[in-house]
Amino acid sequence: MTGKEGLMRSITEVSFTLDELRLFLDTHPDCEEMLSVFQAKKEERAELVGKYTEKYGDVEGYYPETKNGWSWNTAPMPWKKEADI
Amino acid sequence: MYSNNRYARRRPAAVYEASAAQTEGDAQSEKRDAAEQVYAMAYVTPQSCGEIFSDSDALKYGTLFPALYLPYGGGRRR
Repeated sequence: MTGKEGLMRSITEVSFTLDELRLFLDTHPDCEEMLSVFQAKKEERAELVGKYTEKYGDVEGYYPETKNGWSWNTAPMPWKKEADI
Repeated sequence: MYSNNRYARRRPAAVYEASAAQTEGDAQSEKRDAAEQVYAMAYVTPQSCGEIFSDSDALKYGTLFPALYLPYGGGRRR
């Protein structure tokens, strides 16, 4: 799995890890070990999302490009061949 | 037709038999009956800070923590 699909897969995986860590830290706010893992994963996710957004467009719906007009709904739909998923 | 009696008899068999064997109107044995009926009690052991899965394994297993990965084994402990 490479390219667009692989990148999205990585984002999904690291997002799940962050979800799990958030729940854990809710009940274990003093766990230094998991706090540092959270910090690392947070940075990893930001980097992956940045990479994806730059190459394929906005992932989260909060940062669509507006310099050349509305871009959120201009990417090919996932079921279209051009989407290359 | 609705009958109170019908529903009153719906008690666990063992308890019903035990109280039936005792003298009726005996306050002491009624008390003992209540004491013998133990309620279920739930508890959760606090999770400790331990090993974690890789991101891809976590997503696959549905948990980040190996300690919480307990696939149902048909009632048998693996």
